[in-house]
Amino acid sequence: MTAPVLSVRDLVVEFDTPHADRAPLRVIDGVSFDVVAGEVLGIVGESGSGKSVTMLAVMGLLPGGQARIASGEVWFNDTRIDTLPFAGLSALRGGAISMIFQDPMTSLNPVSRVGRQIAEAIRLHQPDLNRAGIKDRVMELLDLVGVPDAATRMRQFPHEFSGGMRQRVMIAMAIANEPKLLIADEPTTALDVTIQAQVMDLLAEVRERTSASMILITHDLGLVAEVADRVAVMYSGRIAEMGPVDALFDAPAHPYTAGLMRSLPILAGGRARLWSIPGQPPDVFSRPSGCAFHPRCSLAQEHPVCAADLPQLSGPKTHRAACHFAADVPAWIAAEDTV
Amino acid sequence: MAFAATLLSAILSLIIVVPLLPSYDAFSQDIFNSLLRPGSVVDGRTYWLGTDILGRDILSRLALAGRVSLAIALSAVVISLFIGVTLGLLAGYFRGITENVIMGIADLQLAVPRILLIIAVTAVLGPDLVTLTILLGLTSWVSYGRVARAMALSLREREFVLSAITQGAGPAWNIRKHLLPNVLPQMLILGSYELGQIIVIEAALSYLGLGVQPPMPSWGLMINEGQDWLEIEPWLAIIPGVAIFMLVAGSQFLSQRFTPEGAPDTDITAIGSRT
Repeated sequence: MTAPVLSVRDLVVEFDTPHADRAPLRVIDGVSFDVVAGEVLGIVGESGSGKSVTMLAVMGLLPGGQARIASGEVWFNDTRIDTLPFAGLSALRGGAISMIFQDPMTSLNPVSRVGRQIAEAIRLHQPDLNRAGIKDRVMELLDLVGVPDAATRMRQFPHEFSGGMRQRVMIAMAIANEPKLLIADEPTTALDVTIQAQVMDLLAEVRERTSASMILITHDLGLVAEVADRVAVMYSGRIAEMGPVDALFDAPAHPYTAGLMRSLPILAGGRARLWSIPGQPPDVFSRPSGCAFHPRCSLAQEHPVCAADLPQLSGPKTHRAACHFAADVPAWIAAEDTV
Repeated sequence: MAFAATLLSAILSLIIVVPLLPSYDAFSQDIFNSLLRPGSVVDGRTYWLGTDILGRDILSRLALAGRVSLAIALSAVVISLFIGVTLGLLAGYFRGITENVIMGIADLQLAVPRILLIIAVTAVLGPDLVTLTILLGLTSWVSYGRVARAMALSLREREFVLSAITQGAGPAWNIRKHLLPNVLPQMLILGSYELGQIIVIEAALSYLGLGVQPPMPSWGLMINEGQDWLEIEPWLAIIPGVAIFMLVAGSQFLSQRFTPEGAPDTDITAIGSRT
């Protein structure tokens, strides 16, 4: 197995509460994962499960003064980056690690020409490059991301671009310095379905050229199944299950993953009421004892241990789940399906 | 709009064109032809706006005074705009102690009337054109600072700033490349509004003898000189008054025309009325 590009070890992120007497909130509570060269890791989970905060912590972009990495380590190649000062991180951001945001409508500066904004991404990391060199590179990038007529388009402002075109520009900016790791935070959520497919194809093409790894944050299970090599399912600030995409989707070892799969509408077959996991995702202010999922889990109802002990990720090296009864899950799924 | 543009272009073209014409000298005195009424013709020469007590042509003095006023006001606007935008963006971007210090100074400065402060300092340093310009510049930055800070507060949370940070941009880069271009249009509108304010203050100070010194003409000074003859030759004071009105009203109306409606960040009239 190759050495990981990004390695996150037991990451704990705490947020301060407005109440001085309360302990800080553990928004991320012991998250570990690796991303190896060239792979796509999908991170899925409900809103508030900690997907985005994990990535902000990796990039060192947690809101200062309110949130901090309380413990754990983040390694990029062979450098520990969670302890780097701002300047050290700046060299890394947009260089070796870059990020693509959810909403291309707001991620471009409305008063600056598109070409100039891409040029800025280049100039931040290659300050010695001359004007002509930068211009050539901008044209090349626009060509690469499939923006036709680059010479004209680079002189235009963001409002002259459609949503899909803007996301292409964002991708051009993200890959401007040949990053080793791309973090895509719900890159297609704001786009139409047809444009989604184009953007994902483009990302695949770009990754092939630059052989970059990618972390894909999304709550679109279909997208993950299509694109990712491995998946991590997050629930209430912890990883519930992690494994290769096929194994995880075919045979979930955590009741939460199984619940997510079951909540998908089935296109074939008869009509039925859309199933959903009972209850609400837990509030970080009052996370349930033991396994955070136990109040919503029918498997846990017969087992008092679920409410008492916090399950750790266990199971085979490649496919692990944080459930006391991971071994019973397949049988449980079969039983549930017949109901 | 059309009214404002007409006022402004009329007075500006007068200021620009008249001193370029031959046979008009703002300083040559002709004591035998003093206090001529507007439109008088003497020795084949037409005095369109008449002459003052020393027989100097009022039209050419008016135009030259306009140049002086405009030069002072424009320089003061540039100085205050630079200070205000810089401090405002720093306060809005960094928040915390930087913001508290800068906004504290701004509030302190708002509490002291601008004109009073300038009178006090001029009384110590003596009246001088350059001193006056710098003083006007130093005392007028607060409105730019407040608006720039308010805009920076919302801009710093925008995704394109976060996106720039993920590309490795630092604070200086973000302020220069992402905040400044977004606040500059509003600052220029505010500047055209402040221009009028500063011209009025300059005229008031010159009227009081603390601004432009004779024989250099100034609109405020001309009103002062005409004051003694108000009952018999009122045009001496009225003409420079009308000139001030045209320039100030023109620039104010025009600046309001360009202010985005209902934009709370840019409600310049609300901020202007407090300064």
